Amino acid sequence: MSTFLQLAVSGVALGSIYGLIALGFLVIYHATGLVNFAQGQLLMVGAMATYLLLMQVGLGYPLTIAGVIVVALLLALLFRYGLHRPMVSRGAPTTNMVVATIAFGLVLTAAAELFIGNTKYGVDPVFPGAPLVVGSVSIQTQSLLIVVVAWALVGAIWFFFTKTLTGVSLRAVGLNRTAAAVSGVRVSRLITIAFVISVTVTVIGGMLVAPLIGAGPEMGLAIAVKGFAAAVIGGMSSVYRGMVAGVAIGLIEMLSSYYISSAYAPVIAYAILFLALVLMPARVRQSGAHA
Amino acid sequence: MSTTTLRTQRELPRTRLHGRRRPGFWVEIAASALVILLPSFVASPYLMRLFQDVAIWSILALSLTLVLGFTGQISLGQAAFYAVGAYTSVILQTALGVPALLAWVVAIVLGMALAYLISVPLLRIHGHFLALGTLALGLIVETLLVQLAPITGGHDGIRIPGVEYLGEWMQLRFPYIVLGTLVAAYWLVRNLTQHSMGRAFFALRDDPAGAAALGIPVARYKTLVFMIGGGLAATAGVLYAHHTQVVTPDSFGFDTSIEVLLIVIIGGMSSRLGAVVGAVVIVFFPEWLVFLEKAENLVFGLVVLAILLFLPGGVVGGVRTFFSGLARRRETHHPEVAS
Amino acid sequence: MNNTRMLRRTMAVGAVALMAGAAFAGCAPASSNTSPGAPADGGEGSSETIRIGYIGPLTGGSASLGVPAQHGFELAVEHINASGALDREIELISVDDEADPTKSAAAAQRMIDEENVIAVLGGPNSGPVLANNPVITGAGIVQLITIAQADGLIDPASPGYDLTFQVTENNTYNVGATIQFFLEADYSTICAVADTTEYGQSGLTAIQTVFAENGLEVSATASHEVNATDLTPQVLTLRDAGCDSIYLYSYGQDAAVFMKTVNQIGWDVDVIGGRALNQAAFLSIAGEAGDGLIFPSVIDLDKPEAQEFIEAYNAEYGEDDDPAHTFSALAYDSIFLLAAALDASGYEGGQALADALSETTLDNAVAGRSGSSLSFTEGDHRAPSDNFQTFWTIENGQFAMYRNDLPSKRP
Repeated sequence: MSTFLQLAVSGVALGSIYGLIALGFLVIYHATGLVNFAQGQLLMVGAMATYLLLMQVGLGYPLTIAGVIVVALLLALLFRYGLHRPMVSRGAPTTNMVVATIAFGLVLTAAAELFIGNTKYGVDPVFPGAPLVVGSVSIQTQSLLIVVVAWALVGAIWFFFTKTLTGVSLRAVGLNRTAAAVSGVRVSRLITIAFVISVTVTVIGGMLVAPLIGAGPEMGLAIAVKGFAAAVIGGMSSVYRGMVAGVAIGLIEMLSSYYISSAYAPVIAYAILFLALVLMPARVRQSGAHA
Repeated sequence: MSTTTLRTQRELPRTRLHGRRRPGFWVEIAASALVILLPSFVASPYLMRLFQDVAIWSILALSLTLVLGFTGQISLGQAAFYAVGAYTSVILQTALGVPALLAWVVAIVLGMALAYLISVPLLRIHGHFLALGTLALGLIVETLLVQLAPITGGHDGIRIPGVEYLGEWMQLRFPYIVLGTLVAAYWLVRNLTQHSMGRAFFALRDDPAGAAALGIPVARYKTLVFMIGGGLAATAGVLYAHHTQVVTPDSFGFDTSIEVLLIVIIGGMSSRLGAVVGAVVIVFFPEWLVFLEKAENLVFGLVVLAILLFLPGGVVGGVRTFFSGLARRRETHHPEVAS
Repeated sequence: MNNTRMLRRTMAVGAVALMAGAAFAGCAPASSNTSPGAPADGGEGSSETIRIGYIGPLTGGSASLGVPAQHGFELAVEHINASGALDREIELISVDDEADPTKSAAAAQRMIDEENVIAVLGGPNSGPVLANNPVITGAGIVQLITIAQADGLIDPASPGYDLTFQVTENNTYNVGATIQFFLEADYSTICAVADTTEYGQSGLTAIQTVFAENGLEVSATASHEVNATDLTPQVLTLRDAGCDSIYLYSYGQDAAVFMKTVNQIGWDVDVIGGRALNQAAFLSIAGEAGDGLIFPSVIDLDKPEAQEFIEAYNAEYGEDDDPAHTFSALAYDSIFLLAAALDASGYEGGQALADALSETTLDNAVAGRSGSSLSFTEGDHRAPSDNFQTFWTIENGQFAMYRNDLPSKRP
């Protein structure tokens, strides 16, 4: 039983990261219909920036957090005005934009490798010290922090989308851009806000996960695939569903790896994913897919 | 997937329906002859190797062009069929002593069969879900290649020295086979998409409901396209195995599926020529940029971004837009349709 | 389409097919004239420099191995040229293959055609080496594999065997040397964990073979993907299997996560690792969790050659470039081996160089225990002699030598 609980705890913490990535995906997707395949690299940038500021430059965590958020802002603006807007104004098809995000991700990886280094670096946790032990289950303080911050962020984003004028306007833009524009909504500015939110959330995810697994240029790929899966399984609709799907994926990963086979765990996880996609009732799928 | 987001006119500035002149049969025949005879006069083994790399990537990309560009189905798992083609052919020859040509045929048929099997559940889903499903498929195959080591050799791979398995005569002339297959694949895709089936494919992509209303057997065609795509990818795999003379899992992973996607988009999504052009870019640009050493990846990524930014229809689309722009200037000025 | 058009088109297609058939049956490709018959022997009396190629991962996930190797090569080339030990200058040409087999093969072909190299140094990944080996040896050029440890790379049955050599100790050597810790301590339950890369999987195979040969049983194994985010299931699998010792055969970053998890759940178990624990990533990420681990190395601090090398390397590339110096040392020695063989072969490449290598011994190599040597004279193209292995550990978050007096044998 204690093993099961321990695995569950890990699954939830891991899944919360996937949920954060899903969150990042969903915010941009809702606003623009774009699936951003650079999400994993954005996580990597957060991790690398944290490493740079915290470990190399030696700022403490408070300043590092501020610095990382500044990096996120700059990156979001670069992404939005350097890539997304020019492509939209030239009438690029969605598939091209998706591939452009892949290329953007490659550029980020190459830049990180060139300017920081090609190995993986350790990052200090926010609260150094022994892991917390509750009964027979132990959890690293960083993992707990991940869960708390991830869900807090999801809650904050949900609040933003449902209770604030800007958020609701953003949803309007996603549902029907023309109608929103006609209603006087400043579409372009809102899309920029969506990018900022998405990038910042993902970058924070990177900052959170770096102390557990290190920061390196190649770290984003595997996590991004599962984050994308979480977003899709969650129906590409609500941010909460993406989070829940993320946690579900994390749990399946941990449990199948222990109870079935660690060597075949990826196959099992992806097979379950495949089955879930195929067996999901079309209604649920259609409600999520962009009409 | 939204129909309005697919800018059909931009991707196909020329359509048969508008009856403009096309390069046509004779140019393609001449180009095909040139490609097939390439090994006879290219003296540099390095260049010949690159051309074969381009050919193999092109065939793989054609499989995606068919599936994505012409029917709108997103497949991120073509590497799975690529792997099936390569490994089946190699295992049949090395472990079971099957003669080369027979092994190739079996491998390609197996690729098509797998595509058919997968299409049954897979084609029920669309858009991002389909993308994710094919992605999952690719990742499953990637893991299995390593885990089923007794069969696949795992990371040690399986060596298939050309002289031993093809005989010296065939091994020497293998470049002809590679380039010949490229030409054959190109013409296959050409004939498939230029006749009435081709128009049906476009209808499938742009408006499945409308196509169904017109009596086009949507599901059957989607499956057919997927199967042919699987067969093409498997063909590329067979060629890859003999070209490299070893198969290891690292050539068949997620990175490969992404590279194929890049090729198709860079070259031009709905264009079979785009598959070849994209392959040329993917193979030759890094070689030209070798002098940049460690900055090569960064610069290459930026080049790709630039192509995507400034050439929405890929390289081929850009060239076509350029030429049709020239043609248009000679005719009456047509107002641009803003979408 | 009217009939004449169709007829003309069919004839055109037929003509092309005929031409293709004729070309295929009749002409060998023009490019085939350049390869095997005329190997580029990089300077047989023609030029003053010896060109040696290196194809390895200089970017990407394996660069943390490929780049220290490149630095080791460069340092060796610098030292040899400065010492004037050879009549000619050596020039190193490095090409990045990003650990991609296709790129590696193309890079090899380019090196042969355009760079005129006399030998090619292989990188740390077996996949790309397997792909570029036929190209290199097919052109009659010697390949020296410096860091890749896969046993199968030196295979008498493979066509390129005559020209292929391996400088590093291979997996079986590593495992064979490390097993003594398990034999001595008489553990009740031995377990293994490995990643799914070639390193981990080939290590696992070697472990299972060598342990069985020595009468030891591996009770439980766990696998994981490289760059794993969470290794709790693997740790728990082994804990619940009652392991009292673990053979950890994963890349540095994952090994670090593994150790941190072991510490986190408060499990006190003996952990012995594979050679990847020499990676900087392990030290950086594990922190104190790595203390006390034992793993194989090739550096003997009591050897003056090793000390000098470490000093020179750190001066040139910094202490963090290859903190345990394993990879760079092997690379360094590879150049010296080649240089000695070139001297003996009169700067001729191809089979002459291979024959010269088969008679070359490096007694004062940087790598290896005092008294060991790197030599191909045993006749099987693998360099390390008996008693080559040393063992290192982590003390207070720093690499430290553990034992340099333990025996090890050539497989």
